[in-house]
Amino acid sequence: MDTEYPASAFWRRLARPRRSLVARYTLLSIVVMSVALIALAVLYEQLAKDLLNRLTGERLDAQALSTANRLSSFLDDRFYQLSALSNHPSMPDFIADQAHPAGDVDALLKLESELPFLYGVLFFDEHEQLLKVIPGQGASGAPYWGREAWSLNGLARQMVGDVEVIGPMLPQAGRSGWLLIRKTIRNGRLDHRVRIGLHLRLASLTELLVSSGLSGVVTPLLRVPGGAYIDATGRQVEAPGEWRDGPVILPGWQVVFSVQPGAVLKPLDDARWWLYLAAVGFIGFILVVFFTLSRQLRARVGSLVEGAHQLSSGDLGYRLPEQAHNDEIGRVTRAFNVMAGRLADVMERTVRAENLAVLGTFATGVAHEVRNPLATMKTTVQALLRREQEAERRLLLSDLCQEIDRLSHVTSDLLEYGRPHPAVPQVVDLTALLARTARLVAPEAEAKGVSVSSTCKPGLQLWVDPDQAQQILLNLCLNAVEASAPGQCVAIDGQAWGERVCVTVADQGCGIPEAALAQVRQPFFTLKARGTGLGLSICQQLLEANASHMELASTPGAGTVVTLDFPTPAATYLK
Amino acid sequence: MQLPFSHLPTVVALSALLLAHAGSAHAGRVELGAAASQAELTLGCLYPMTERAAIYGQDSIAGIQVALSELQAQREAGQQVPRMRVIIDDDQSKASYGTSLARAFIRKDGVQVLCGMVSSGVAIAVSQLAREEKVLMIGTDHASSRMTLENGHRYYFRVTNDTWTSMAAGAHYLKALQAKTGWKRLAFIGPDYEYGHVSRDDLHEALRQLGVQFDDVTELWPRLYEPDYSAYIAALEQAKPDIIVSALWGGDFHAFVKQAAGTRLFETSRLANFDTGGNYDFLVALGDKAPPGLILSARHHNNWPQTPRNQSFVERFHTLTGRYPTYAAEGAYTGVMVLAKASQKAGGATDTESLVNALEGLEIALPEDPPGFVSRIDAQTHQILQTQAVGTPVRNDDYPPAKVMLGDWAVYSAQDLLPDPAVRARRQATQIRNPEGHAP
Repeated sequence: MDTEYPASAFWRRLARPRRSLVARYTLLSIVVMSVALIALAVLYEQLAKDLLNRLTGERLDAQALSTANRLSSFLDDRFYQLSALSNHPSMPDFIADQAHPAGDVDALLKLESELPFLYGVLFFDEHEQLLKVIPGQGASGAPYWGREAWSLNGLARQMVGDVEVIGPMLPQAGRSGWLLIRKTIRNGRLDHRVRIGLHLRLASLTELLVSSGLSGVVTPLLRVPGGAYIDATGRQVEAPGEWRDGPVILPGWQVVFSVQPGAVLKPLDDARWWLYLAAVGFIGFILVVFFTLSRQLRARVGSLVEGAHQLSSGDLGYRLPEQAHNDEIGRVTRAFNVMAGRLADVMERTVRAENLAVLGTFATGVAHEVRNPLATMKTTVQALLRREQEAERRLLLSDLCQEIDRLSHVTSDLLEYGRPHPAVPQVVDLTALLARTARLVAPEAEAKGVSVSSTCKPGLQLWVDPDQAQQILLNLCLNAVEASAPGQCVAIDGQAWGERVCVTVADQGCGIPEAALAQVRQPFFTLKARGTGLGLSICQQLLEANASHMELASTPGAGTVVTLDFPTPAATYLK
Repeated sequence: MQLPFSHLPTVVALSALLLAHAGSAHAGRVELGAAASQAELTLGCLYPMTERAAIYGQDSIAGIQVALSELQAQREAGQQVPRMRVIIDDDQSKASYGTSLARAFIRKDGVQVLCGMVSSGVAIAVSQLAREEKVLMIGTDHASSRMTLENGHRYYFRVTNDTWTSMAAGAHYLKALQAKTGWKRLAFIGPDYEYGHVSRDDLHEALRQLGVQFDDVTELWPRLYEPDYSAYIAALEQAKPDIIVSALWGGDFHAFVKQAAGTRLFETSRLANFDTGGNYDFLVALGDKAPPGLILSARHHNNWPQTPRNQSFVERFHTLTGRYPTYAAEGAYTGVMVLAKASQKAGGATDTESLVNALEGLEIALPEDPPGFVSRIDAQTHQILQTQAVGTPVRNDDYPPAKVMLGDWAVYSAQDLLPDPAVRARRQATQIRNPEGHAP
C-alpha cells in the first residue's frame, strides 16, 4: 500500500502540471505569506506570555516587598510620632489645664500637626468625645472648622500593639479619605484616660504605592478593612478582576496588585489583529491580481496558440498581432512572427528549388532533343533559301528560318533556366555596367521610339558576377522598353544605400496589374503575346545567386519600377 | 478727593525711597509705612514668603507699598487719611505659625488689624483668633467661602473674590460652554485642604443653582505642595473627563500643568481654573504656547479691565518692582485701601468697632472694577462683591516676560455671582446655631 506524506502530496498538488504558471506562483506566495503569518502569531503569543510572566513574576515580588516596606515605614514613623506625643512628660498637664497649656507641648503639637500628611491632631475623652482639635495644614471642614456631624462610629478598628488604627474613612463626594491612629496618653498625677489621635491623609499613605516601570500593567492597590480597594490617589476603586496579593502592612490592610496585562498587551494585541487583517487583505489582493493576470495571460497565450495552430494547418502567411507591451509574451510574439516569416521563405525557396529541379531536368532533356533537329532544320532551310528564286517562297523560307531562331532562343532560355551557371562575383563598376546595358538596349529602343537614360554616381561598385548582372539588367531594360509606348522614357539609376547599392529601372509603360504582380516571377508566366515567361524567373534566379534582391512596384497605366539591391565589395570583404 | 492717577508713579517712586528701610521682599519680618510712634493704625499681615507660594508674599508686600504710597499722596493732597504702619511676616502657609504670629502681632506689636493670608487653612485659624480677641481681620488673598458664610463673624472681612464668586463665574462659563459643546463629564482636582474642598463644594452648588447637568467622573485631592502629580494625571486620563476644574494654585498649578502637558491629557480634556489660574506668574510660566483648551480666571488681571485705575495700579507696581503684579498684589493693595476708606468713612476713627461698622456696606472703587461698577462689602457676609472675568490664553506681548495673557473674556457681574438666598441661608445656619463657632 502506498503511503504518501501530506507535504509531498501538497507540493505535487501545487505543482500539478495542468495548473497555470501564474496559479502556481500565486499559490506559492500565499503559502509563504500564510506560513510567515502563523510563525509571527506563534512568536507573538510566546513573547506576550513571556512579557507577562516577567511583569508579574519575580519583578512583581520584589516590587511588592519594596512597596510594603515604604508603607510600613510611613506607618512606623507615624506610630513613633504618636508615641512621642502621647508619652511627652508634659502631656498630662497639658490635658489637665487646657486654659494654660504647657508651652513646650503646645509648640510641639502645633509643629507636628503642620506635617503635610496630617489634617490635624485630635484629643478624645474616655467617651469618644472630642476634647480638643489642633488643625494642621490640611485641616478642612469638620471637625476643625465645621460643625457637620463627625464621628468615628462604624469605622473599622485594629489594634497594633497599644495603637488603635481607626478607619479608613473612604473618600466621600467633595471630601478626601482619612484614617486615625490613636493612643492613650501617659498617666500623670491624674488618670485622664485621654487619647491622642493623628488624623492622617489616606492619600499620603496610598501615594507610596506609586511605582515606576510597571505603570498601567500592574497597579498597586491597598485593600483596607471592609474590603475596599484604594488606589495611589486615595480614591476607592472597583475590585480588580485579576490581582496578586502582596504583604499585609497592618491587620486588615494589605497591598494587592491589580494585574492588567491588557494595558501593555492590548496595543500589541490590537496591532496583531491589524497585522492579520492586513495579511488577509494582501492575500485577497494577490488573488485579485492573480485572477486579473491569469485572464490577461490566458488571452495572450491563447493568441500564441492560435498562431501555432494556423501555422501548423499550413497558413504560413499568418502573423500574430503586434503586442503593445515589450514583455515576455511580446518578445515571444515577435519571435513567432519572425519564425513564421522565415519558415514561409524557406518553404517558398524549397518549393521553387524543387520546381526548378524538375523543370530544369525536363527543359534540359527537351532542349537537347529539340536543339539538334532545329540546327538541322535551320541548315536545310538556309540551303533551300539560297537556291530558291521565287520571291514568295523565299519569304516563306525566311519566316521559317526566323521561327527556327526563336525556337532555338526559347530552347537556350530553357537550358539557361534549367541549368544555371554558378555566379563568380568580382568587383564591377556600376557606371560601366549601366552604360553597356544602355548601349545594348539602344537599337531596340530606338526602333520603338523609346528613350533610355542612365544615371549613376561615379565610383559605385558591385560585388557580382558581371555577365549575370549584365543579363539581369538587360532583361529588365528590354522588358521596360517592350512595355513602353513610343516617346516614353526608361530610366536606369544607381545609388549607394548604406553598404549596398540600389539600382532602379523605371518605365512609364502600361504597368502590371496588381493580381499579376505576385506571379510575374513564376517561370512561364507572361503577360506578353510572344514571351517565354522565363525572363524574370531567370533574373530572380541570377539575383539570388549573387546575394541580391528584387522588388517590383507597378501602377497599371503609369509604369513599373524595379528596384535591385546589390552587394558592394566593401560589405562583402568585411563579412 | 483723590489724586489723579497720572501723578502716582512719581509718588510711588519717592515712597519707594522712603520705604527703603523695609528692605526687599524676602522671608522674615518686614515693616512698612509710618513708624510705631506715629502710626494711627497698625496692621499685622501674614503672607507666605517661602516655598512655592513665596511670590504671593513678595507681590503682596509690593502691593501694600503701592497702597501706602497712594495714601501718602492723598494725605499730602489734604485728605484725611490715617497714618498706617504695616508689619508683615512669613506664615509659611502653616496654621500654627500663622496663629502664633498673629497672637504676637496683637500682644507685642499692638496690631489693630490682622490682614493678608494666602492659605485658607492659615486664615481660618487666624480668623478664629481674631474672633476670640475681637480684632479686626481683613482677608486679602485666601478664598474659602466658609470664612464668610459658615465661619463668618463680626470682625472678619474679605476684600478679594472668594471661592464662591470664582466658582459661580466658572459655573456660568461652563453652562455657556455646555450649550456650545455639550460637555458632560466633569472632573475636579484641588488641594487637599480647606480651600480645595470648599472650592469643589462651591462649584457643584453653583452648577446646581444654574441647573447644569453633568457627570461627576472623579475628584482628586493631592496635598498642598504635592511634589509629583503623575498618579493624579493618570487618574484623570483614565476618567476621560470633558472638563477638568482645578483649584490647585500658585506653584502647584504650574507643576500640575507642566507635568500634564507632557501627557495626552489636554488632547481630550479642557482644563479650567476659575479662581487662580489666570494669575500673571502662571501666564509667564506658560511661555509662548499655552496647552490647548485652558480656561482661566483670577481675582485680578493686569489687562482687564482696561481702565485708567487698573492701568495706573499695574504701572505703579511695575515702576516699583520692575515686574508686573500677580493678583496677590492687588488683594493686599485693596486691604490697605479699604481700611483707609473705612477710617475716612468713620470720620478718621481707627478703633475696631468703628472700622467694622464702616466696613459693612463700604463702597470703594478698585483697579479690578469695570467701568460703571464699584466694589462693595456685603454688610451681612463681610465679603466684597466684585465682577469676575473668565478668559482663555491669547498671544500678548504687552506685559513681558509673559507672552500670553488672557483674552476672549466672558464677564460676569457681581449680582450674577451671588449665592441664591437658600444656599446662603443654609450655610449661615451653621454659624447661627453655633454662635461661638470654634471647634469642639
